[in-house]
Amino acid sequence: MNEPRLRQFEGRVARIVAPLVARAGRKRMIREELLSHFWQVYEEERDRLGEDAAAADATLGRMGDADELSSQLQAPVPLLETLICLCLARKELFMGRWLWLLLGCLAALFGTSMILPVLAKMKHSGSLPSDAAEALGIGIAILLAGLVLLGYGIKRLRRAS
Amino acid sequence: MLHINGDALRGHLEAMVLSALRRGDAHGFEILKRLEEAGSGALKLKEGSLYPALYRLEGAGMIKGEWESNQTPRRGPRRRVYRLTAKGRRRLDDARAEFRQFAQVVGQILGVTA
Repeated sequence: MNEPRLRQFEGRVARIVAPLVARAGRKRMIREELLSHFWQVYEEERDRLGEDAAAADATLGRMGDADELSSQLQAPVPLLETLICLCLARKELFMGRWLWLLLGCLAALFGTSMILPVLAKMKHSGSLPSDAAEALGIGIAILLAGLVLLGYGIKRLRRAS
Repeated sequence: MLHINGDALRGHLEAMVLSALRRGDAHGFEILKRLEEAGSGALKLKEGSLYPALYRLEGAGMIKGEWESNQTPRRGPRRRVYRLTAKGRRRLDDARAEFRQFAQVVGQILGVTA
């Protein structure tokens, strides 16, 4: 097998497959199948033209534009697979910038939802009911934790931007 | 000679692939050869564009692809061989009927009889 030519086709196939948003197994399959097709076309062209470089050029021409083929190959990928792969590809970004803000907001809201009923009871009865003290303490702790997470998230967001 | 390219084939390529596979299991390169042969040289496809059609058909369960065994005596990367499923066979029958009707209606409008 003509190894340098195979490397050349591998490079072209990699350019076609790289932009695809799909699971690794699908990309591997497409890569191997396209490479196999390139190779068969190349062998046919070499037999026809009798010259290696011209056969390689003809092969690349027959396969069409790499960018166009990439977008055509994206179309049959199921939407769910595309979405999952997009999320996984953006995982670091998401974890780093937004997860802490989201967790902080949720914790702050949850803590507030524990504190407000106790405060309402206090206002109504004029003193802190003994059975609500524990809920108030937990609520304040969760609210504070949420605020800390929010602060941390904002800090990371600023650092990243 | 009239050359039929990818744009003109839009919407028909998948049925044509099914029809090529009706003749027997084949890998992508062989499918193209069958299509070109059946098109008597008028068919001009960018060869890469066959694969999106194959993957769409496979995703829809109309064809099934399997890697050829390593025992096959040939050089080069291994190939994926496709076969028509029962669903694909039914879809091909439907596509043939639809196309016959389409050709009949458009033929009448254009004043052309097949």
